[in-house]
Amino acid sequence: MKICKARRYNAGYPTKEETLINPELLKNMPERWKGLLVSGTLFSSVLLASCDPRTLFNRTVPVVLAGDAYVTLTFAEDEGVEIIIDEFLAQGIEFEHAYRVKVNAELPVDVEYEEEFEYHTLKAELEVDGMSKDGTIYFEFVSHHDFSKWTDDKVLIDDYFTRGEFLKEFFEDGMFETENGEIVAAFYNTQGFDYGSMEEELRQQVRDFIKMMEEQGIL
Amino acid sequence: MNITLHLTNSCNLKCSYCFVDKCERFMDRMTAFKAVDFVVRRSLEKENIGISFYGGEPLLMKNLIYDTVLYSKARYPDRRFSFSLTTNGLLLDEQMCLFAKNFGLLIAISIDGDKNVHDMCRVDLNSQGSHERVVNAAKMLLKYKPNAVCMATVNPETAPYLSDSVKYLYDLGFTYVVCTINHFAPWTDEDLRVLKEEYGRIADLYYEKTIKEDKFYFAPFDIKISNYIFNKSSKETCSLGERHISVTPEGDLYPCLQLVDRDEYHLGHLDTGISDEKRKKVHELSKSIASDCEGCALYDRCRNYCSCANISASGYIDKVSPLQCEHERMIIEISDTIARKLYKKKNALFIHKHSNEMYPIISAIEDKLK
Repeated sequence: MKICKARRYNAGYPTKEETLINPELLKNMPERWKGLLVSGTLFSSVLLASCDPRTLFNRTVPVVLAGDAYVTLTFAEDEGVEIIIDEFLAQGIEFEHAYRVKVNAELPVDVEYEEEFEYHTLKAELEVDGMSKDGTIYFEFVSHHDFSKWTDDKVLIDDYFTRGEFLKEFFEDGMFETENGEIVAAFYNTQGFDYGSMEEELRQQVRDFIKMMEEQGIL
Repeated sequence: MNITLHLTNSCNLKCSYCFVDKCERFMDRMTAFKAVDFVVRRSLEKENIGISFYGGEPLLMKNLIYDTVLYSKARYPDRRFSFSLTTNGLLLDEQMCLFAKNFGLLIAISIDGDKNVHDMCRVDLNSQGSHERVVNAAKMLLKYKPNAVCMATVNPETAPYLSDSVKYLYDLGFTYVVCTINHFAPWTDEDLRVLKEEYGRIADLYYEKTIKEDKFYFAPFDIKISNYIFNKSSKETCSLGERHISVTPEGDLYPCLQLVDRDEYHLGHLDTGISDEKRKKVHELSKSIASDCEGCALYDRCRNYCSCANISASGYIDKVSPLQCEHERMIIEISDTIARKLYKKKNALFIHKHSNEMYPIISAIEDKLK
């Protein structure tokens, strides 16, 4: 028995930060938890939120709406942009990240809802997320972060989710209205309970946009 | 901030490995309440305050436990407390279990294994084995607190039965098992070889349970894996004199439960206050690098900072013993082997258990739903 120094040592498995680089790992929920997932319970909210790596990084409290407790998952800005670029590519159109490309657009900042959404907008500068290789078409993935910026950070996360549907309505033609007539596709952040169907919904938005552009003879 | 209240030095068992000097010392209510006031004053407003009841056998002072918990909650309703105690189980009753359940008192019960193993060391004052009585208490406790912790102490003579003991405890209903080796014991190289084999068998059990998604927490494996995954150095876990204070039955203050009644570590008294100079000195000493360990690749993962273990085994706060070094290397190697295997399999339970910060909450809810 003696004191002995280890010269080199490699544990051979990742630390938490390394694990969470791959969000799929945490989305893979233990089987025994699945049996505990009862729709609409707070426990389900905790379970689902815990399988979202962003929740873990940010320690965000699960979103709970009064009366009907649930958690809503959304894509982070980077994730959404990656999916959009990937789907454009899958449809044979090359898009890339846009850096510091700005357009002047009419942006949604508030909404009231009685029988239908009534939007309040303001004209402001918008930094787009992506652009086509030839620089003729831009896109913006409207994330929670964007929305907070437009509304001067006054929007709390539950407000965003409560009003989430309105973005879908606001961008009914899938485009921003810009001052100089640029083509800026607007893709809203999908919400849901599983990333697979949310991703599919986002990809569908891209395909719908392409179809619309084709119908108008732009693409 | 954590405080350990040494309620009494008396005990209704005379375990062969116990380091407490048994004598008739009992804490009174005023001292306990002053200790609560003391720890609250020294804690940050939002900080969790840990209060542990220790002995001797703390359940010899049941009423004082009830009073102290109720006093803390009534006197400081806005503060967050967590209460815990470790008991030999002999005096555990339904009332205490119910109290523990209602007031969030964590109870850890000491059982070393089956009758043969347990009764080797844990005997009562008449030298009679205590196994049957503690097992009855454990069954009652698990009814109220399914997440109760079982503490097992391993000695050279019980090491050959360790894996069977852990299986036994699991089958008894404990999903949280904490094993600690007796650092005072005269371990030999052969004993450690046997211990390593036994840990290997527990590793197989751990792997098998995790694959089947059966809940099983085993310290030290889980601690080693979790600290590595969360990049937590062992240094953070020892808060000697800084985040932890032990209080004797008479109200004297010491930095750690193993250092109680050692004059050189006396930090003050509840009535006169604590000497911050002494406290800092002890804290610095506990953080000083053991020269034997400098440059070791496992330095941050080792319990070389555990002053309790160092004092017990080497006689010095800042000096690890060969036993500690061998044992730590053994544990790290075995823990990492299991972790690598489970990670390679992308085992969901393993990944969530160690990477999902909400796992403890989910696990606690699961226990409640049981």
